Amino acid sequence: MVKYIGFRLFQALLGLWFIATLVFILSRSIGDPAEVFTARNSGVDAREIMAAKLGLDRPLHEQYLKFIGQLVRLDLGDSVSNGIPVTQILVERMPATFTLGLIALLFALAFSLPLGVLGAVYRDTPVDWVAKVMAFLGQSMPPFWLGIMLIILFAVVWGLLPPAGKGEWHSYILPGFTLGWGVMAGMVRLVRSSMLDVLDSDYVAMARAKGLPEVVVIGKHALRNALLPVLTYSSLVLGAFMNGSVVVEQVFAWPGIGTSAVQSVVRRDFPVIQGVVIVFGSFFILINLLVDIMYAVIDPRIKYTQ
Amino acid sequence: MANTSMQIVSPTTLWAVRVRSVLGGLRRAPKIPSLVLLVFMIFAAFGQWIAPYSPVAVDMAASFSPPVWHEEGSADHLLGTDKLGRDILSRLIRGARVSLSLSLFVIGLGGGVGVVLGLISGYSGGKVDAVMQRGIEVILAMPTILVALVFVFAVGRSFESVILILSPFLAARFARIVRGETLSVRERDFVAIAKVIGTPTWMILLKHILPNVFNTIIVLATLEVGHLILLESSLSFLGVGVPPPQPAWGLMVADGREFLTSAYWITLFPGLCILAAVLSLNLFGDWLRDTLDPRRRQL
Repeated sequence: MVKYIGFRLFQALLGLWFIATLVFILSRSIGDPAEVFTARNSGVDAREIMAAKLGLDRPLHEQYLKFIGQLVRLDLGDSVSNGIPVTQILVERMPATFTLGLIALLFALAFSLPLGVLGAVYRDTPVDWVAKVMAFLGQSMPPFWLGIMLIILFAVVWGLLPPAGKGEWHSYILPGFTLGWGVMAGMVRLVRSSMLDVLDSDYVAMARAKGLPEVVVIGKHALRNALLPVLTYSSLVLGAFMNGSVVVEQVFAWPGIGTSAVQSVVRRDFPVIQGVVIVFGSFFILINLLVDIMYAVIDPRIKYTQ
Repeated sequence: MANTSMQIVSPTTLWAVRVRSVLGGLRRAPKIPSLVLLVFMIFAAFGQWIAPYSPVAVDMAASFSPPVWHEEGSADHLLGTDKLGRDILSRLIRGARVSLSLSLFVIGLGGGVGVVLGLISGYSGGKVDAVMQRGIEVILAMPTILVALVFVFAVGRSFESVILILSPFLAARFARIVRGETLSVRERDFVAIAKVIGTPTWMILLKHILPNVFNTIIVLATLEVGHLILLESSLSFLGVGVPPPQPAWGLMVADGREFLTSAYWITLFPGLCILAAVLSLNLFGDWLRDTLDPRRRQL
């Protein structure tokens, strides 16, 4: 067990190192790094200052060690468009991204649990078809387009909800739903299939034989056991939200990390992009690590020998 | 007696049987998704002769004309025009090529590499397998869109750079699944026999294992094309996809964002195209999986 966790930890560190190195190689291999790290129209002076700061006159391996050293100290450099430290920008914008992810997860659970359960219990009835349609649409719809269509309907045409930005509670509804639907698709299928497995089991037959009302059989005996895979999936989904939030935040002008990533691409603000990739990458890897460890703790059948 | 029911099938015949069964089975494919995919494939292949206008022909006099069913709409532009007066329908038809060809390139490059890696990893086992699997896990643990964002930022926007950055992610997904299949196929008797009679390893992989994991590859490829179209359009939407003025669907959605209230059609139709294409691919892929490979319904 300890060996397995240690191994996964090592693998996670390897992943982090890989991402950091990739960013380093990209920033050094394409054109003049001093130009990559300075604003688009900055003069020779700014470029020389940046070159000195990055130590571009030093050999490549020294630059690399310096870069990794700074990363370890959480120093991601300063934004070239406004001079604010990248770490500070990320810390300020983190909460908005996380709340959005959480709301999206709640939406996904709120829709997928009833739809999945009803789809399994009333198989091949209209309820099941609705669940399937929702799932297929969620998997096939481009999230940015869904967001825009929701803005047109709920904000422009009906004027019910704010079109963009983060404000009162109702400003979370549209972005949360947009981000959540794609994930919901996978969840509906998962709930449905694990419910179907459980409904066939002996203890559900037993519960029915005891004469328990159907609501209790399904709600207590079946659903509880069908929930385990869903919970695991929910934690994995947080990783998927990192990917989705880049797009969805952009659509709703959400003041999170994804928006700053896209803005910095437009402004050619490399330190910020670099910071976002490293931070998001770390979270992604960290979540995968936690899920794997959780799995191993919950399910002893998982082999630790690798 | 046993001779009549059992025949020794040569690998070449096995391929022929498979191709024939796929073609025969296609007649039972879900009608609407197949039709939609066929239409998009025709658009992608022959778009320049079907589209009424050039996708980049600017006509400022006709900018923002609404679709034909609006009062101000005209039959000249069936689905309306964008802010530069470019014909939406023509751009959609030509955009099919961008989305489909890009996805197919990535499937060819990334999927091809992934299949080879998966076969080698699964067949050889041991250290080779362990090292390759760790590498694959590292790739799978990276946020695709962000990595693509920084990569395209660094090397510049182009068709090729999008293909280059999406391929490794696809290769990793293919390699993982092909490896799993290979692990079970390599334990079968015909592989053992081939080994005993001294068949070279590459021949075993090519003639004995590949045909047996082929169904999985086809199903995976179908589902992944849909996934890639979504990814490509997301990148285009974020401004790091295929560069304008090429008519990529994701880019068209982004173009229309400023005019949501006045000209919804610029945004609506390209999104519907993405939805129709990806939905059809998912439905088709699901059907294909149930038909070819009933063991993998969870894929």
